[in-house]
Amino acid sequence: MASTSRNEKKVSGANNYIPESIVFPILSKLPVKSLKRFSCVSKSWTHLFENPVFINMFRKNLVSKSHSLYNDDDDDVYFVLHQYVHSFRWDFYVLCGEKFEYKLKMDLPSSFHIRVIRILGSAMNGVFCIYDCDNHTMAALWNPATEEVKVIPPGSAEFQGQFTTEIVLHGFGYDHVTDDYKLIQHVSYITFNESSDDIHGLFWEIYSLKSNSWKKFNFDIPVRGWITGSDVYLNGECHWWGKVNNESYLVSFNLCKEAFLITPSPIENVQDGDVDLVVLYGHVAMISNRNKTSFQISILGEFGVKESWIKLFDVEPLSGIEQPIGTVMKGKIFFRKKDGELAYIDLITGLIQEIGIEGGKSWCQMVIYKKNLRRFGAINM
Amino acid sequence: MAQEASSSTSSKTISLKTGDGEIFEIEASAAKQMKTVQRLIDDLGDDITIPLHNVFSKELPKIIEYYKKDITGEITKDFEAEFVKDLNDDEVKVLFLAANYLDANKLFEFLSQNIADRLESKSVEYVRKYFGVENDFTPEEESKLREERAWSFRGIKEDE
Repeated sequence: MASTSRNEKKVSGANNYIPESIVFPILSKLPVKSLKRFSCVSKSWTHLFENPVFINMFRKNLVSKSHSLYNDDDDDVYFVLHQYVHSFRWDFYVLCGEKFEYKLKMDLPSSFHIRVIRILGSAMNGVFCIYDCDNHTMAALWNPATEEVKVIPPGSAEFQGQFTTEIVLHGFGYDHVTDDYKLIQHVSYITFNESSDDIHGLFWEIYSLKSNSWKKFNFDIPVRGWITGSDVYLNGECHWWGKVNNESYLVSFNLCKEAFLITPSPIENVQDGDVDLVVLYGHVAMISNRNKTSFQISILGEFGVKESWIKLFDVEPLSGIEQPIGTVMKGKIFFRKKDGELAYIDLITGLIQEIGIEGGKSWCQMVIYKKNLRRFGAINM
Repeated sequence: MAQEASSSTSSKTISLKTGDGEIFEIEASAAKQMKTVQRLIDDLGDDITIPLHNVFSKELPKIIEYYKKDITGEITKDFEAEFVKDLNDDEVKVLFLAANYLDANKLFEFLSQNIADRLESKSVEYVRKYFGVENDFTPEEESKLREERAWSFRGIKEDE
């Protein structure tokens, strides 16, 4: 009797039941939030993201969605490679082409007298923020297409004998709401002691190109985990890896709203340099364990939710590869090889391609650059 | 019933018979886009009425309409929006399953995206019913999981 009723149950379910091979193509097109909710549908659905067949489909959909969003055939989008050569000499290259095979050396404006150059964020809106890594008060905005340079004026930091003033730039980007370029930096007054450091005061300040001035704020945002850590800009928000009480967080600062959100790290005990932030398929993503030979790339599904980090790739150790540079462009992750050459791996196809440039021993940065012929003057009112 | 021989060599039509006995015509170039149909043509020849046991007279005309547009390169976002506008979730599902049976890739991909869009803000129960999936959680297991995933339920109506 019991077995009959079980069979009946199966039959009534079978009328409606759709096999996984047909369900997956639908599910793999859903956003992370929906997928995480639907993990409550049944036990097998709880483990969707651990299913290699599903993850493969999910990745492919991310790729095709990002192609349509970001106009991959946009001719004016390039990638700028910046690296340290020797004796404070820096090379900037604009790279373009399917395999980044076209290189054009860029000349920095002669007015730049920065010793240890670093780029903040990206130049997605045509403007670079270049600063001196040793002294963040030396910063400038540069539009190569219009050849304009705007030196950033000092903020509200005070310099007094009894403490050290530490200024750390955290983010740069474009505010499309107010049509403005903005910077955010953190200032702290510290006395370095034998046992611990005393912090006498700290504040955040935001620079607006439009007003050409800094404005102070008292946000309680986690500061950058390490000075040379990566930062990314995406859709009006600056993202950096922050640390508070030894806990690591992704900090997302919205330039338009001037508000922030933190997302806990999916991994514990993040050491300096362990993690790089990148933009992958239009999402904020992290490269973890990059100091080891194999590493992982995870995207963030929902800001503020620790559980929504989704591991997309597990990159196996590859012979000849020394270390990722910490940049992903168009789904390709860039490396320095053991012989010094720069190369990339296409994450979907697995193909490795050299780009014909040697990577500087230290300091190799790549950012997106989109040409913009609009002059600063048009923004500065 | 008899297939119509077309005068122009490029627009040969194929006869398709649905599971409920109705016959529809489709151009050979459109039939090529449905791999199942093409396989049957390869096996049975293009002069015979191709039997499609798992597709019915409600769905096939819609599918033919889609591929008619496809071969003239006229499929736009507007056309696709219009195509599914008046279909409810179950009707789209039936079309989707038919596209799967016919191995009609373009339509399959389009409809799977449309279904995903429809399901995005739906409840867990709705999705269970929709895919005929049995809930194999105990009430305790399910409530624990829902608690863990509380963030993903924000803004979602829990009834159908």
